Amino acid sequence: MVPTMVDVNKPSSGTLTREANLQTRSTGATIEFQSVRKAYGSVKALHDFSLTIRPGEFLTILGSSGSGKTTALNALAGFSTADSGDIRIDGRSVIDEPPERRNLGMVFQNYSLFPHMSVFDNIAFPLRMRRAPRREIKERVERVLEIVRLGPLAGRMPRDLSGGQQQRVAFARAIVFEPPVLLMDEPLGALDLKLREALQFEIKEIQHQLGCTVVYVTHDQREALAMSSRIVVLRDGRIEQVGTPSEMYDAPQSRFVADFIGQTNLLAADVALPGSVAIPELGITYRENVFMARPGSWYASIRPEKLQRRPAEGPDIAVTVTVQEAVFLGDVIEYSARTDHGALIHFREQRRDRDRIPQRGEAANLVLRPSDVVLVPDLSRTSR
Amino acid sequence: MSDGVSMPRDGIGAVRRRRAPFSSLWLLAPAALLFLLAFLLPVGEVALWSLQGDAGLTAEHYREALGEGPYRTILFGTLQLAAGVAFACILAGYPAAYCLASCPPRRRTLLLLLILTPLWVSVLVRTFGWIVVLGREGLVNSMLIGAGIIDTPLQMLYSRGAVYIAMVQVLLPVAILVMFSSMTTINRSLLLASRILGATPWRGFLHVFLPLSAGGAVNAWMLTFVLALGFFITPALVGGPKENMIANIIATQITVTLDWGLGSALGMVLLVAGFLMVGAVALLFRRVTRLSGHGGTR
Repeated sequence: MVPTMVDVNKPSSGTLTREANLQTRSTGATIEFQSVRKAYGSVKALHDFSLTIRPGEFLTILGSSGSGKTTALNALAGFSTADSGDIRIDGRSVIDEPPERRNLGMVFQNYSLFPHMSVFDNIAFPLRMRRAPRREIKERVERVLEIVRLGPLAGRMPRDLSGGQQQRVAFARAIVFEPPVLLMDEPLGALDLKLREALQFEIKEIQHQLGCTVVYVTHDQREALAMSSRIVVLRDGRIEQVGTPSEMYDAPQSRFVADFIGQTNLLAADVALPGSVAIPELGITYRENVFMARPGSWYASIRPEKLQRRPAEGPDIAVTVTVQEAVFLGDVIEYSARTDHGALIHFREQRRDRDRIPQRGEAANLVLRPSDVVLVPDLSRTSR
Repeated sequence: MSDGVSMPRDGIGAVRRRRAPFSSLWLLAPAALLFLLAFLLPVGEVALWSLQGDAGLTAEHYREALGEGPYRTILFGTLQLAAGVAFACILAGYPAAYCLASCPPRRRTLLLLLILTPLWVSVLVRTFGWIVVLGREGLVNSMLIGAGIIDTPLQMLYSRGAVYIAMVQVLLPVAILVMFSSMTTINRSLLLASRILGATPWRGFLHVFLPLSAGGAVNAWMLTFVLALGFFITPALVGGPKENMIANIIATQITVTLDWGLGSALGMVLLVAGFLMVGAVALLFRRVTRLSGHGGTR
């Protein structure tokens, strides 16, 4: 990560800069949610939501619809009032402030560009609302137009732009006043995959330049993994887990997170004695020394790429399966296969030249390292 | 593409695309037929009458209608009154339409019902209502006298003010409905966007909502203006003989003096004047009206 920097030469006087980059780097703000609760009628949209977002962080709130992620964002933006709790930006409570006093940039799901204003006027809007001098408005808008590479389109109306261009205008409008916090509500949701991936990189790149704190809301776990410095998984208005993308992927703490982030094989696991794990559907029992799960019912989460066709060594566990389907994806081949005990599992391998792809009905010997099995609590059998 | 004769590859697609507008045009047929029979033909007939003199074609009726004299004064008075009434409808109706468009659905239904109820009562009855309210011994006068504010009843009926009030009251629901429907197309997240980008509620309204709803207001003005031009019963009842509007004069020509030529000429002049005014307004506000209908749904 590029460290955020404070530039002392903030051009409040409106000095001309010739470079395309924003010369100023606003430092991101710290955001604290403190026991924020929100209910809509009898539906609790957010239970006791507490979270500290660090300056300059790219934090993604990830959840399916109805998880409370939009509620959290709206509470931060000031569009809805929390029932209780506090929200602080750089230590200052903003819970009673209207949205216009919170100094946040925001990119909306459908961009929400003002249809009666040109691209230039849309981007100038936040500056005009802040009563910036005319000359500074012109300079800043032109600079930010160059950053999002829309310079020649300044005079166009939003309806004459493509989806990707509209997205860039919305982004430019949100960053033109260099807010310490940028909120993004599923900003790439309406775009096709290729464009989405390209814009993911651009957004990350510009965030590094600006150094602002980003709160990004999405239901797309791939987007969350690709962009975030930390991810918060929300489920039914509660935080399920907070962590870096690799923590979420490698060490999910619940069945829900294991299943929601990335692909995985979830199999019932029984821990009889501390350290002794049985996965009946794979027909295996092994000793696990590191985590020492408590005796009881668990789920074993095994990522598809951890099941490998190679010779077993040391503590490796061997599993024999019958291939059901092999799906060719170019660099990767994905298999579905059935174990001798009837479970359907998925595994995935990098394609190497001249490898023969096992076909339907063929047996495959898979190998798994015990440390690649992640045990997550089976909450269906305990009260939640 | 350029020769426009053969479009090989997607022949089927091309045929379909070419047929689609045709088949949907047929849906216009009933309305078009009615328009032809009940509007275009009569107007053509009236135009002929207006040009017919005792000895063939003549412009004499138009000379009388447009020349120096009472008819021209009344015509201008009518245009002025209709424009003013329509403007008053916009002023009074805009806040109501805004309120309707921003309130929750259930309350909106109730309010819409309240606004629509007057439309179920005939214009005649509503106008008589104003006679009851504004008359010498009407509600307003008896209240003012009862309260000791005045001694002798005020002359309110049979004045231009009475015509104004009564016409605005009759046309207001129409203006509200037109503006309301254009406001509902405005994407509310635009207002949220304006707020988070630094606009106070008032500035957000001024910079975002007002420009996007102005088209609806212009449309409402044009519609109420045209309707007001043809008002006949209301000015006759609450305005009395000295507040005659052009429609009353035309009726007199047709039914009393039986001067069909002049009546027709006045009718044609009114039609053309109305067209010109609406056309001028539409042209003047074309940038604004173009926005209504897609109020930021994209």
